[in-house]
Amino acid sequence: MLIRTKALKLFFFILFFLQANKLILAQNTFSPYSLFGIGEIQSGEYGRNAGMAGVSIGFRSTNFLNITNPAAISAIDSYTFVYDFAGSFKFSNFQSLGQSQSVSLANLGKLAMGFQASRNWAISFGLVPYSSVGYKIKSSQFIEGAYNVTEDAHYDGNGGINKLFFINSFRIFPKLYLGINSSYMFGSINKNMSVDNLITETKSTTRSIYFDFGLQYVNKFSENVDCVFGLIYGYRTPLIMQNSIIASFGTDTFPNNFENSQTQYLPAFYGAGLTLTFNKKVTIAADYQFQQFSDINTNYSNVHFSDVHQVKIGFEYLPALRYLKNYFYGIHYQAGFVLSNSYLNINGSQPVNYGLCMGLGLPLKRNAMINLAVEYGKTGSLNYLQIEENYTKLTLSISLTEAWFLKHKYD
Amino acid sequence: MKKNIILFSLFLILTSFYFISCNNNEFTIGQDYLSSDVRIAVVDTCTVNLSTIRMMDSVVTSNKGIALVGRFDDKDFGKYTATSYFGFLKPDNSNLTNSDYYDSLSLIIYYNKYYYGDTNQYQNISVFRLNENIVLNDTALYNNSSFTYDPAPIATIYFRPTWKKQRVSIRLPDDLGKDIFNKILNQSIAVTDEASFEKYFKGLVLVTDKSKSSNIAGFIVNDTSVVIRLYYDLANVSRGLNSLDISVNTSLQFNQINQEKVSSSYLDLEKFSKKNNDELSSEVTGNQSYIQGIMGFDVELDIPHLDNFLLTSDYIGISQAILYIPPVFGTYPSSTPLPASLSVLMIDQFSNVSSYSTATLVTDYVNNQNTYYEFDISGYLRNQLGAFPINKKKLLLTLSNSDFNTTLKRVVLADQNNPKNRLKVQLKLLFYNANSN
Repeated sequence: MLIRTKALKLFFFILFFLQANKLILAQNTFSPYSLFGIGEIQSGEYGRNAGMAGVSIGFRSTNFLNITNPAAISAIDSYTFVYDFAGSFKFSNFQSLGQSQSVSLANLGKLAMGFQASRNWAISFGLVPYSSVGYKIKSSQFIEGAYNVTEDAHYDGNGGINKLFFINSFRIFPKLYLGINSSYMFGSINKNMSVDNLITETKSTTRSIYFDFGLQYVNKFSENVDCVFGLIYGYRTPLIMQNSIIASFGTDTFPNNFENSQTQYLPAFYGAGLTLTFNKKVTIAADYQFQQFSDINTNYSNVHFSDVHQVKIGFEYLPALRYLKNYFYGIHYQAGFVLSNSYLNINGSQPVNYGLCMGLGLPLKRNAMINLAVEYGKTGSLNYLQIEENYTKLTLSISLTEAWFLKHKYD
Repeated sequence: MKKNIILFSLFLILTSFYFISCNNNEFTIGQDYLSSDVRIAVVDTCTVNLSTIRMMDSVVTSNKGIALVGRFDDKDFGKYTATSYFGFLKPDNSNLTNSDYYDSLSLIIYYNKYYYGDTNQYQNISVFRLNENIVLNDTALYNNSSFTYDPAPIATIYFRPTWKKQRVSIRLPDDLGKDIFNKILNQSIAVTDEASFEKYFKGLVLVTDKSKSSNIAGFIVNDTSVVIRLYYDLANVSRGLNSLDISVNTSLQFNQINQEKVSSSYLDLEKFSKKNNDELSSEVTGNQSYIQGIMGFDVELDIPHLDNFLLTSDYIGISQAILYIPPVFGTYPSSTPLPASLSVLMIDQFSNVSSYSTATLVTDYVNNQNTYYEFDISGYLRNQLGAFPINKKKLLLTLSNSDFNTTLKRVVLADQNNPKNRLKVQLKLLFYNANSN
């Protein structure tokens, strides 16, 4: 009976996974920023830490799959399955030179599962979007040889690169944890253009294996102060984009397709983070991360990607460790702030992006948790990028836990 | 169990995120960063060559329902003379008796309002009897077919074409009439048997007097509209009420058209030998080319350097291609009006012709300078762009089917270098370079 239930649940997870695969591969963004390079880079931070601006390098949690630092996976309780699902709803307003256009988009952002394979070894796998392309833009084009006559050209793009990850996380010393994330990066980006009767469809597909690493050192400063220090590192990895172009005019398809390839890069990154927890109730965490986005070719001469320095600060307050009397005492109250320079560098200027977050972690039975977070932020700048995005993003994530072998004890 | 319900409902919420994704509208923000791989250009510098071509040295003019008679001096095409030949069927059966009297014999024809030339002038039309039978050349007769006739006319009329239909009755000599009357009365084999009648009466030809004619008129040809009518009187009955008809044999009616060069015309007829498919570039005929249906002149149109566009980019889209071909100003006085449309055909390397479209006349009523034939050649150009040489086709401008061998309509078209008005082409092209990024 027990085994059958497990098998059934695993079956459903896989089914859900395959289904969600399609959903995650679906449109994840709608932004003119996603025109460039491999699309808009997705933060990938959902769940327990979403309300804390996604602070994660020094963050460990028993019921949350922190895939930013693979060393954190080792924090999963013994003999426990953890399932993480996350989705978000984002409302954005773009402004540019007196124009204002709004967009709203919902998507699934994370699907992950983790468990402790042995006392010092935990495993997690799942799927997250890495970059996303989504835009529909109308552009007026001048007609040569005709005085001041324009014609509308329509551009649209979709797709993106997804990350199928597999994390192995080890306790290598009593206080030191190491995580290795082996990812399969795959996806396709479709960019279409139509003007008059001419339609061009460019499809870029890619796949690559990518590794990144994390370390966490866990200690106590004093009896009441827990401390985690984390480091992450990922190295630059080539990403070969295979492009094929089909062009047609009306009912005529041009006879030969163009094929070419372009080498993009998954940028190198490194970061450090520190989390301090006082009396297991008050948590203060901070991350610094450097990402070498300048390796990515935007394919636009006036737009470049710049290296990003990013700082995140998060705060969490838990009124009571047990919520026997009042449920609200068991809620995790969170706030956070993220600040970085924009990876988009248009005409040589780099504006500052920021986000302000608030979140609630709603505990369920057996260490499961629902996290709700809202983030308000700004990317780009009217002054520099000429495009500014103001967004509000709602995130809902669910972390479910389930005992693996000892379930009968709870049942 | 309870947890499963929670799990399931959350799963629903999460997946519903996907479905509530809004249908977002097209942005204009971001357009400044788009660098188009496509150039759109309006081009009017594409070479178009015209030439006059004579696909056939003769045009079928028999059994077309029209008899053309007259003469007209066309300063662009030369002097034409139209002569119409008629063969006849044996007379109707009749019950003439000895008590009946011969009255008269007339050729009755109907003017069908078609004319070309100066309608203020009368022309002399004479009727001659043929000396030889009209014999089909294979299946038809042509603008250059000819049969001999007795040089003495049997009748002559003065005729002026007008805007109205007219019945024209030409009195024929009584000796011919009486001879036919007697043969019918005696039931002679010459009038009861078709072959014998042909030997007896070979037919008539209507010939204009070249010196007194400046127009060409058209007459309806069918069984009832071209007849030789024999009037006779019954005893004791007033005259003129009884008649019997000798009807035209429509398959043996044809129009002979003769054309002589005039010094004002570039159309040097001598250069078109009898050989088919002779061409004369517009460059040697005063930057103009000639269409005249009944003499077999068409205009061939070629765009020789189209494929040069292919050198400029990976892909070319021809969005629009319109040709504006003006008739040369001064070549269409009111006496020789322009056809309202021209047929546009495609002609391949082996002179096979297929239909393509119609060029429509756009008339500049205000100052008459900007009149042109307009037609879309985008389909043709898309078909021709990059085609193998063996599949290359040219365009052929001709009179429409209803015009070409029943009228004397003609057009002089200007090429790109004509000093009076010029052929223009307007192309809208899209150039796409797949590898520009």
